[in-house]
Amino acid sequence: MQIKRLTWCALVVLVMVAARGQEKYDTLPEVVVTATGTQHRLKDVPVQTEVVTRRELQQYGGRSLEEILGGLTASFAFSEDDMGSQMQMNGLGNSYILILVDGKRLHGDNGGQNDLGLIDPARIERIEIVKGASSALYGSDAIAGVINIITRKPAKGWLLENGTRGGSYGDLRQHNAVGLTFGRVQSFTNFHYRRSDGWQNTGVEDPAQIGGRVITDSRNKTVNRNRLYQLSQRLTWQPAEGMEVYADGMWYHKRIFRPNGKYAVADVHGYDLSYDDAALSAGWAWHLKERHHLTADVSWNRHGYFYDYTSDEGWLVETGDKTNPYYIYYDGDRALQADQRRTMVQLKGVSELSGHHRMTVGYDFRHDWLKAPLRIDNRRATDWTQALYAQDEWNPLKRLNVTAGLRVDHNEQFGVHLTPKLSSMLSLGNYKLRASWAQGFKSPTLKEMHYRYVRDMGGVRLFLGNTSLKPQVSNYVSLNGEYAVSNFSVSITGYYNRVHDMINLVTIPASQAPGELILRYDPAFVREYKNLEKAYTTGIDVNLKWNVTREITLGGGYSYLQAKGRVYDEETERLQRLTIDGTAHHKSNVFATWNHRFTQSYRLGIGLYGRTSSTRHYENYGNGKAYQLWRLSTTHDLGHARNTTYRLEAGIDNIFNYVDRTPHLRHLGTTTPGTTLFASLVIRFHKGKTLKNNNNNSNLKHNYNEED
Amino acid sequence: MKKIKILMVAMMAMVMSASFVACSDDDDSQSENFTKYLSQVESQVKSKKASSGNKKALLLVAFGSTWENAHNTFKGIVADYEKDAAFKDYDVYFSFTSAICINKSRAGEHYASQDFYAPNFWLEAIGRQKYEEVRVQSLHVIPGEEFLRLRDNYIKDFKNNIYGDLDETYLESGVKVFVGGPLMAEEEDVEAVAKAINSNFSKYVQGDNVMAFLGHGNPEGYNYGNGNVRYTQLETALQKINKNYFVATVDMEGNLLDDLYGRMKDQSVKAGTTVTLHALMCIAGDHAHNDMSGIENEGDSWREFFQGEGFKCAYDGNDANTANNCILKGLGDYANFRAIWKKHTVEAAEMFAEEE
Repeated sequence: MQIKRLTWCALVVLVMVAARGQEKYDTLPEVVVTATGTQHRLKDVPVQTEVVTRRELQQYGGRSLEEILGGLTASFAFSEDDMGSQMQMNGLGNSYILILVDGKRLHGDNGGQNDLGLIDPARIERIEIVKGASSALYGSDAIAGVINIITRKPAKGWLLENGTRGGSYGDLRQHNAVGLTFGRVQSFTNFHYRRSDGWQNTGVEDPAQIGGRVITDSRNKTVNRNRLYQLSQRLTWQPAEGMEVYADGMWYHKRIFRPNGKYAVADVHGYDLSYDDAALSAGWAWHLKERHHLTADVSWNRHGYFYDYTSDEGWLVETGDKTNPYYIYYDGDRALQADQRRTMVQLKGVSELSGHHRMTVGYDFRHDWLKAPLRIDNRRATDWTQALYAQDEWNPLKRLNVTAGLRVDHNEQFGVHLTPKLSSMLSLGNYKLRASWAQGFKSPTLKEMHYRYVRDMGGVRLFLGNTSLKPQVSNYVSLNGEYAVSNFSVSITGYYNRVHDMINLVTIPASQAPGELILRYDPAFVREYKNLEKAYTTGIDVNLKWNVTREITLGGGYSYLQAKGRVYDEETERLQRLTIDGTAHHKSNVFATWNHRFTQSYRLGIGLYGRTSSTRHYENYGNGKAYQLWRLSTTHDLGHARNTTYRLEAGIDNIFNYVDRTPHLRHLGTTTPGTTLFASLVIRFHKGKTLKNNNNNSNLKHNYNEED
Repeated sequence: MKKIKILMVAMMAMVMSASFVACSDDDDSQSENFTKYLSQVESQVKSKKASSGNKKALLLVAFGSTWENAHNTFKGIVADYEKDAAFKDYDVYFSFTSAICINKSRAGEHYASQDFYAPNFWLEAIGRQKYEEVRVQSLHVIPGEEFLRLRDNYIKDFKNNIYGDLDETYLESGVKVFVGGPLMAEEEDVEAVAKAINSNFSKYVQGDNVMAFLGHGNPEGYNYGNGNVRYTQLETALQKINKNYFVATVDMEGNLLDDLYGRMKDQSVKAGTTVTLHALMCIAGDHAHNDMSGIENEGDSWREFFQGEGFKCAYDGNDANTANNCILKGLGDYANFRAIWKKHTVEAAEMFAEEE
């Protein structure tokens, strides 16, 4: 209740103060690309897009993408655990959110959870968020929305950068970048290291989930100790004006350390989790007279997921194999859980046909390969999809934009699937009205199609994939109103997103399972993936930003959400009308920043950030508590010696030391460990061509025009 | 496909034999059960051999248990052998010698029904599949009654073709039989076991704290191989390391609970001292649950005895509770004891070897 009131107060105050704003400091200067796959100024983009800018990222000083999105927008929720970030965007989970890095989908998941550790926060130029379905443009997974991480492109010349960030709970992040230019060839190397000791908010286990036992000194952590390394290399070559060829490579390793306590039922784990990823890509881009753009990209990605065993006495696992039903692993042993490999070819052309039409046409090919020795039929499986899509951005009137798109996907298993979208925008002076309808879809995953898992727990349980699954499909409608003058903008969006044919494991009569499997396993019960569930999310998102003076910015967001589903209930084996786990009705964020240059060699930035969430609802194991968190961060741009700049960032997160101490395995509103401190130093040496910042506004910084 | 075919045949065989049982008279049920169990074991051996292509079989033999944690220990031992590179050429099988444990496990005492079979079924099936080497490993602790029964009855019966349907030439010259002794087969093993115990449990004997191990032992009149002596030897070896270790049994005359208590008093272990109890058996089964920790509270367990004498020796049936002083684990749960058994398997003596 209190949180709700506070949120509203904050909003009312902001709007009232904003109404008095007069000076001209543009709040919407950015160019965005995600909504239509073409460049638009943020205030002219036909589909509502939220942006987190580089300046905002620096001012916030976020440790990870989770912290950044959770702190700077109202629509995201995270509950980090071993399996991933458990990201939610307007009520739907990570498997319905498409994450792009420079327009390319992030590869590799663990039960639908992407590993956001793959994204080095220091390399983020800006983050674009387009809520709602975008499958007509991007294909599978874009149901709740798309997050596009735009990375920094090094300027020409020589660049050396070192950033070190330290914080409470053994949090250490290090990034090192080297940029070199040889004529028309550029090289950029980035190394990223991160570690954290993790933390424990409670030693109490939930008795209901460990057979009624009472444990108050469990070693289970709220977030486990972890460590990652990432090395990436990019080479670009400009063979001619307007043309670029690139080749990228990336290597990544992450390990999540799990404690071994003394309670076999609760805190003895026997193995750590590891990820080994690699990526190779190459591409070509051609911009012809600013009117025609052609791109071609080829990429290969690998995401390996392993158990690294840690038990001296041996850790026994079921193999599902009748002749050797058990296997024992010792410290140092490693077992592959899943190896996901993807090959993609993407071709795209954008053409300004006339003053009224801009046409986008593209072709995507995607091949997926999965090896999961313990979880799928035949131990490996493959799948391919090809797609053709077209989009027309049409301006029949000066004030009206209509964007229509259609995508045809052709998949090896489910055949042909059509995805349309239609959106329009009416510009009336400082007001914009946007309406859109779009479909989204999510292809059945290789696991959902080829899963085979046998467990013998007092009777054999057989879990099966299903190759006749259809894609999960959504219909998304939204209405958006925006008012923007140069130094103030407010936007309100109402949406309704309905997802059907959602896939889940459902108990089927054993007689329906393939006869060969019945004979082989004689299962007591069988569960199979089916297109069965439905859900809807509906809500209102409000965002506003006001540059009060050149130095002061206020802003915030509020998100109201209703989410319900007809979800399969394991107990009753029926569809039940249930809450979608993890959803909160009210979420908000506010921020106030002040930047001032004291001398030529010292500029100070101070930011105050707040975020709140009402109770997060769950069907089982309790609701997550409502919370309110505040953060203060400072940035110090310290004098520059010739080509070198220094920036210090320091701050305090969760100022009021709020900690959710709900017993382990029950749901938490937030996993924050309480008050934490952080500080970072970035040293940057750059020699070469830099674009002069032609704008004195200290809130406005473009790409590499800035003096960082 | 081949594997599936074999499995199908095996299943059919099982279904058919099961239906024979269903329509048989009570008088015949004993022999029908024999046929059924043999066919079940044979189908497992057949399919395992077909999938591995191994020519050597390793049969692990334990006394048995009906407790879930004990069964998990056994699974761990089997998996440990299967994983070990030293046994990669072997198909590993597992057997109980105790008919009571086999029957009660099948009936689902304590938890879900499990099928175990006596060594004669396995040896017969192994012989029918004509493995060229059979290595039998005892998972017993002392060379006592159970080990001797295995060596002198089951293995000899196999070699002597007790059911008369194994190929005589095969038995004569086609198969080599080895037998690996129990944990403390030889006196020199006692030293190794004492070291392993101290490396795992030294924290329980710090200061005045006492740790006592509960072995089984052979009752008076059955101490054929003089296996019982190992318990005494082990206590001596342990007390050389730390005088607070004790070893006693539930069946060995002269080394029962009273005798243990007497020795503790001789060493002036005082009331109020913490006594940690651990089974000196491959698994923590019936004796660990009842004689040692006494979860059914019948008053005759070691734990209740020590508590009655004023020692600190708690157990509330919740293995997660660290305030407890009874450790419900078997020796087979620890890698270092398993290593001793595995060493015996590697160094097993060949039986029936022709004298030179």
